[in-house]
Amino acid sequence: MAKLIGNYTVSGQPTENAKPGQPDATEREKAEGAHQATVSEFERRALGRLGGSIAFVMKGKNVLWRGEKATDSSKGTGDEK
Amino acid sequence: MKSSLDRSCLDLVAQATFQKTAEIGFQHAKQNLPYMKQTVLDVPRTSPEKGTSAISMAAGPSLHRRQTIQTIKNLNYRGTLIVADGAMGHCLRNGLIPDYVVCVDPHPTWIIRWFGDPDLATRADDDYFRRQDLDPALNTKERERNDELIRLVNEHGPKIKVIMATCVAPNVVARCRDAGMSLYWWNPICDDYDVPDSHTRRLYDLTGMPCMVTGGNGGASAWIFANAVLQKSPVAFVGMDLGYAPGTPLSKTQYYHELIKVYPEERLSEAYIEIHNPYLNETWYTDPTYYWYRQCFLDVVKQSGWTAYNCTEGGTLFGEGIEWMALDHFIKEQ
Repeated sequence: MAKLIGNYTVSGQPTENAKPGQPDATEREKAEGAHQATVSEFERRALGRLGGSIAFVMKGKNVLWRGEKATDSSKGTGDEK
Repeated sequence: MKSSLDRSCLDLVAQATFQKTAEIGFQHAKQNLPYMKQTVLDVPRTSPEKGTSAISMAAGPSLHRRQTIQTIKNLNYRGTLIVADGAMGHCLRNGLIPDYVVCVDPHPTWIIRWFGDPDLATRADDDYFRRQDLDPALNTKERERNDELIRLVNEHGPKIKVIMATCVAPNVVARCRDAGMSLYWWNPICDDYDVPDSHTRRLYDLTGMPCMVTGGNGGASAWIFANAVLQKSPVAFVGMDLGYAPGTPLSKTQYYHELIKVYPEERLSEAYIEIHNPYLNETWYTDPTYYWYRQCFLDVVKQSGWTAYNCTEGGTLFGEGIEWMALDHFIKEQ
């Protein structure tokens, strides 16, 4: 499975995209829950308002995608130089 | 101020970005469909005399602090110049014509300002441009500056190719077309395109345009475009501070108005992150959104394997895969 980075927990993202060595989704959610408790309410509210220009995700080395079917061997241009 | 932002905080910014831009971007793409004649892969390459190097330009404060454009002109840089839309006006006002301008932010009323807004007088008043340090020229005499930019874009537009994301507001598309600019379209990769309800796949199915990683903002997209589509090497970047110079008032930061709505004033500084830049031996600071941009860019560099030459000469962006370099040194090496 190509490594996925970016909008890590956008809804609909399958848990198998977690990075190798990372805790599974349940553990991660627990850890995040613990963290949330330490983050002030106003900080969470602020971060939820601070969207950037455009969403970001990168899958493996694939910088371009032209509708190819998803496989590990899908070609991108990120590794061609 | 903090010294870092952890993953769960970055997630909140990432999710806010997706929620803010995805659906409006899709609606914009539907309206832009009739104008999608050429894709980003059809873009004409630069002439061989320009060589293989490129400089991508964002609109950070170091453009002005370091007189970046003067350096590019004084050293007669002959390579390819790709700019984020926010940096184009600064280039044109200073007599530098970019080869390409990259436009990706779907905001409905702000982005057209970078091209000169013919309807500025009818817009609701805001101080978005006046309070930021991206382009100090817009901080005063806003109307006159806007008129000047309309003239400059109309004059030079036909020489500049626009690398236009399908999600960009239709008023920006109309403005570019009116100015005689050629448009080359792409979809931003916004989520995992292998997921059945993927927003990116939905955009692709609607438009048929190729999809490209964004890096989260126009400056990063410009650098990615230079590498991925133009296949330039080496590619430097300038004006990508992703932060605020020491001494910049919090009220002059991009997201100040959003933060002050939520943070108690006496705790506002807690929203920001201090970063010591060892190359400058200066401590800059940044806000959560810029910090997210920084992490996005570091991720792209690491995962792509491309070397990024940071010739900004300021800011917060350094790390694995990024070579810090003076701009004159980079240009003289080409």
